[in-house]
Order: sequence, then C-alpha cells, then structure tokens
Amino acid sequence: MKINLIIIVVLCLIGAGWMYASYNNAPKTPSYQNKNADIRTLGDAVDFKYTTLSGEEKNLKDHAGKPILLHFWASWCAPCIIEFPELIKLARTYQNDLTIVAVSSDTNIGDIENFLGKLKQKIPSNLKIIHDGDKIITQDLYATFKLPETYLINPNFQIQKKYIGPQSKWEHTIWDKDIRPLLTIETNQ
Amino acid sequence: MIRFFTMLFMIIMGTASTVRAADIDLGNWSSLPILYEGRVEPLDSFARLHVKKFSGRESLPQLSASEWLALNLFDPTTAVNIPVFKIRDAAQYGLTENKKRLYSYTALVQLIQNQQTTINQLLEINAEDWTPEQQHLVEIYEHYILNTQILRSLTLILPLSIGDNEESFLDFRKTQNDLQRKVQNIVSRKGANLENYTDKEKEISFLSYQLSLLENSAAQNVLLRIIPDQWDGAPTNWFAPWSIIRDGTGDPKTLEYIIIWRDMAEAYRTQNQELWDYSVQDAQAYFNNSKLKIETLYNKINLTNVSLFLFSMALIFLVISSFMKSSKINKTLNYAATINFGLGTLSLLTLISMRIYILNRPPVGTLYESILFVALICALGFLFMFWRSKNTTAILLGSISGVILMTAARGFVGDDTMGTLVAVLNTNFWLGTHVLCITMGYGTCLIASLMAQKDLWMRIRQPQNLNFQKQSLRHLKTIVIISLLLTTIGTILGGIWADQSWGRFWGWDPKENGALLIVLWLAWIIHSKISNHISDLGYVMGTAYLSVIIVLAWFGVNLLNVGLHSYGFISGVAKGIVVFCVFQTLLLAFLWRFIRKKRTA
Repeated sequence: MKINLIIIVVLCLIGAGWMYASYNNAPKTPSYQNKNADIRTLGDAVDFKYTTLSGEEKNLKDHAGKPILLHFWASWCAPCIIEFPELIKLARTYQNDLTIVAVSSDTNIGDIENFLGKLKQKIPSNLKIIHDGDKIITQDLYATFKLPETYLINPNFQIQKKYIGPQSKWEHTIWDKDIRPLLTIETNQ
Repeated sequence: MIRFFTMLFMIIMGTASTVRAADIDLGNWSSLPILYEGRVEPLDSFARLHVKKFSGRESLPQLSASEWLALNLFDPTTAVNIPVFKIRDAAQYGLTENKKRLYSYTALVQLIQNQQTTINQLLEINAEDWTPEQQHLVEIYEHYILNTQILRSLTLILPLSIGDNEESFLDFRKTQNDLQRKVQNIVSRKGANLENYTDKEKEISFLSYQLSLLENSAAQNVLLRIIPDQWDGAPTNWFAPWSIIRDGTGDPKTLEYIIIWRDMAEAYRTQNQELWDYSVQDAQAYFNNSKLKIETLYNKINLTNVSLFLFSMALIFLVISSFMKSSKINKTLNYAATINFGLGTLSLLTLISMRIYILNRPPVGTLYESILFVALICALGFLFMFWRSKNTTAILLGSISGVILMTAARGFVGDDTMGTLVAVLNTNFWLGTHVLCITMGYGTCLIASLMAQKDLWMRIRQPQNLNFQKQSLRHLKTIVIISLLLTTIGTILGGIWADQSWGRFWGWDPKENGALLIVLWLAWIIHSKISNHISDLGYVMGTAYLSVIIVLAWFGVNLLNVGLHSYGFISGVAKGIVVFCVFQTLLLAFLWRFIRKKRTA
C-alpha cells in the first residue's frame, strides 16, 4: 500500500511540476529563427556609383549621415508621374535633412528630360535624378520589378523601410512617422 | 498544332533538359525550409506529404520524395513524365492501365482534358452528393492543380526555352516593359494581322507574348513559400519566388537568396555537384536550422515503423517461447523479447521527444499523437511492472498494446502529422495539463484492461491459483485508482479550459460525455467493489471492459461529427471500432461464461 501511495504522490508531483512549467511557457507556434532575429532593418543598403542627369558623379553612400529616399520610377509609369511632384515638394521642404535619389528605368534618357520639362518645376539640389536604362540598380541590386517603389535608408546607411506602390502623403504622414525620427538617431559616421 | 502546344508547354514550365534526378546528390537541400500550411518545415516533409498525397506511397519506385520534388522544381519538363499519380480504374478515363496504377502528369493532363466537363459539373454540386468514383475524380483534379503549381514554382529563375541563350524570366523582365511598348506601337501601326509584320516585328511580338504567358500562368503561384520575410526578425510571413514580381516583395536580401536558388537550378541542370553543394551551403547559412535538420532525420528514420517492428519482434519471441519446452531456449527468447520491447519503448520515447523539440509544444495535440503517447504510457507501465515482478507476462501485454496502438498510429501517417493546431488547441498550458492528463488516463485504463484480461485467462488456466488472483486484484485496484485520478483531474481541467475558450464549463458535448463515461465507469466498479455489490470476478470483468469504454470515448465520439471538439472529427474508422468492440465483448463474455462454468463444475 505504501508503494502505491508513493506512486500516486510522485505522479501528482510530476503533474504539478508540468503544470507549473507549462504555465510559465507562453503559447508558441512552431518556431523558426532567422539568424538576424534581433534586427528590424534589412541591414546595409547596397552602395552604387551614379551620375545624375546634370552630370554630378557620386556614390549613394556619400549621402550617409542623413536619411535617404531611394526612389524607383519611370516616365512611362502613370502612378510614378502622379507621385513625382510630391517628391519634389518633399525634397524642397527638407533640403538640409534629406536626400532623394530617384532612379529612372526609362530606356531613353530623353524620355526623362521630356517628362521633367513638362513638369516645369525647379529640381532641388537634394533630389538626384539618375538614369538606369539597363536596370542594374533597379532590378539587380534592389530587386524592384514593379514601379514605383521607394526604400528609406537611415543615416547609418541601413535600409529602414520599403514603400510599395505610389504614396500620397510623403510630406506629412511619412515624413512625420518614418523619416523625422531618423534625424535623431545616433550615427556611426 | 502539336508543336505549338509543346512549345507553349515548354514556355510555361521553363526549359527542357534531360537530367536524371539521381545524378545529383541532394545532400542537405532537403532540410532547407518552406512555410507550408502555417508551419515552417524542411522541403523533405513538404515533398513526402505531396508524394504520399499523390501516390499513396512514402516514396516512388526510383525516386525519393525529395528527389521527386527537386526534379519538379528544377527540371519540370522531365518531371511531367514521372509516374506519381495513383488513379483507380484508369481505363474508364481513357488511360492505359498499368500494374502500379501510377500515372504521370502528362497522362493526368490528358485525363483532365477528357473529363473537364464532368469535373466542372461536379464542382457545381454539393460534395456530400458525390459518389466514391466522383470523389476520386475531383481528387485527381485537385492533385493536378497542386502539381501544376509545384511545377511552375521556380519558372521565374529557370532558363527559358527562348532563343539560344539561357536567360530566365528574371533576366527578360528587364526588357519586358520595352517589348510591350514596342508591340503596342507595332499593333497601332500595322494592326493585329501577323502577316503584315516584318520578321523582326514578329520576333518581338512573339517574345512579348511568351513572357506574358509565362507571367500570367505562374505569377499567382504562392505554394512554394521558401523565402522568409527579411523584414521580420522571426518571420511569420514567407513568400514564393513569383511574389517578388507580383507583390513587390523583393529587396536586396531576398534577391541574394533567390540568386542562390538560381545557382542551385543551374547546378542541377548542368550536373555540377560542386556548385550544388556550395549553393545549398549558402542557402543554409541563412537559417538557424537545427530543427529542420532534426525533422529531416525524423522523416528518414521513421521511428513509428521501428517501434512497431520491435514490439512485433518481442511479441513473436514470446509466442515462440510459449511453445518451447527447453528452458534454455525459453530463457534466450524471453531475454530477446525483453530487449526488443525495451528498444521499442526507447524508440517510441525518442520519436515523441523529437516531436516535442520540432513542434515546440507538449507531445499530444492530435489524435495521432494521442495514440503515440498512450502507446508510450502503456509501454512504460508494463516495463515498470516487469522491473518489479521480473515476469515476462508484462512484456507480453506491453507488446500486444504496442503492436495494436502503433498499427493504429500508422493509419494516420499519410496525413500531415505535424500540421498546425487549430487556434483553440494552441496553448501549451492546456495541452500540457488537460490533454496529457486525459491521455495518461487512457493509457492506464488500457493497462488495467489488459491486466484484467490476463487475470481472466489465468482464472481459466489455473483456477486454483488463489495467490495469483489475490495479487492481481491488488494490482488492478491500484491501477484503476490511478486511472480514476488521472481521468477525473483531466476532465475537470478540460471543463476549466472549455470555460475559458467557449464560455461554459460543461455542454454535454460528445467528447465531454465520453470523458465522463470513463470516470463514471471507473467510479462505478470501484464503489461496487468497496460496497461488495460485485464479486472479485465482476470487478475484473468491469476492468477488462474498460478497453471498449476507452475506444468509444477516444475514437468513437469523434465519428459523430457533433459538438465543439470539431478538430478531432474523423471518418473511415467506424468499421474498425465496431469490430474491436464486438470482438472484445464476445471474448469477455466467453471468458466470463467459461470461468462460471468451471466454477460450477
């Protein structure tokens, strides 16, 4: 009889222990852990050398230290040409705090010039318009297959966010929510 | 016309090549991850599940499941000729019957074309009104759609059969928009009649058409979710390769990973083992994949079969031993049986431990897992008894329970035994308490039932052995008390869980009634014995009949398809349950009658 009692007590203790252990173990779905589980950015942005339409030669990384918007567009893409004036406005408003690099996939450079000519707006100096006719930057480096798309790169030259499709609230909502907070982050530069 | 369709098929499926799967050693490729039905699992599990679904087998005559998947992904035009689909009465669908009843995707396409009208009509009516043949036809159609998706999964990165170069859709994508604009220009100038076009214009139009066709046929394909969302630290969202085109989910890291897969495709096509190993290693570097490796190992060693084999061997040795007169041989056979039984229990314990590690939750969440767990409880229980008594009868009873339960478990292996649990079950606390308590209760009840049946048998063989009867009754009382304790606590915990999940403690749901039935049965025999309303024999009979009560409460109520425990509903086992219950009832009735008769005599 003694042994039976011991068995029952042991079983109860195991049960109680299991209950306690389970209770402290939050519900989990079958998990998979990315090696970079702690990061919330997409790591370093890919650097490339570019020449703007006005002939200025630079690397993307030269703009590190403040937020960069890497915008992919083309003059034949209807949503892109609707969105473009908004980006000009944003660049003009935050001339000292932001660089916008607008990469066009147009085959001919003339198409971009035509489009900009029709816009009749002065392009601010922090808006760099570059031609990527062979789509090396657009597709091979940044995997952009649908236009328009925009990457937000933080002052540490890490990709912070990606915007798929045209955005209508660059100057207010996106600036306030996503870009302005980046101005205060500590940089490694 | 045939050439045109052949060409279209090649465009949609990617490029043609004539490699054999066995020429590349897949190595660790099978343990790369994929998100399928809410769970991240190795490609090996995905492959096995689909091979089993299509063919009803674990692997194909000349290919393992992973090799079949690799062939489908990297060499679709060869894969379409591999017989993988099980079709009953193929002749009625115009196919030539073969012994193995396995047919290729190409044959399936022919079947679907012949039966398209019938299938469309069937899909219009209620599934419950289908005959078994009609159900089989719809199943074939579903398999066709599923395999089509698998075949098209990587067409984004496979070289296209366009021109002499080996460029993929991803490369052609750079020129696609320009081509479309050129075609628009040609059409606006010359109309839609091809005869008015120059050779160059025809080439441009055809290339643009081919690319659009490929994109339209494959872009909706989201089955092969092999790319984790790079933005998410512990990704819950995974993408199929085509979604970088369709949904804009591409980014530099995703592209890096896709390029690795493109290298794999090239290695597979060119039979370059070195490039293959290098690419697979690169892909593996993205993941902390110890779980994926364990799951691949789990798939390979198939411990369900190993345990069943070892329990069967133990049983066979003991049966042979009972016919042997030489005590030396008897001793050897008993020893061999004990070793086999011990190893069977160990492999079952390993199987359950691996599942706990892979699924990151307590061992019982599905009916299949409950069978494994009950088998383990029985095996451990009988091992404990053997350790205490040194009597091989415990090994015999344990082997019987092991063989029966593991055979039942094998019936569920075809389904995804590691599938995601329904939301209500996804709580480690209740899975670790209520469910384990109840299933342990099932296990101890089965132990009690088997011991009681052995007791009845001994009452026939050695009616004068009162010492054994007394000792057996004592053991039965202990195990029945433990069973009552576990099932009662388990049922009450279930009520609390039901209160939290469904807002009521008790709802007279069939599953709840089943649990209550066990508790009441156990309480009845215990109290009847204490109050001397039943004899020792009655008590043993009542305990022996627990097996029927357990089977009804465990499986039987799931057949009713009523109540809130819908995640446990099953079908197709009614016959088995009826046979078991009738057999047990008749056996116990026979034993009862025989013992009574012997006593009277």
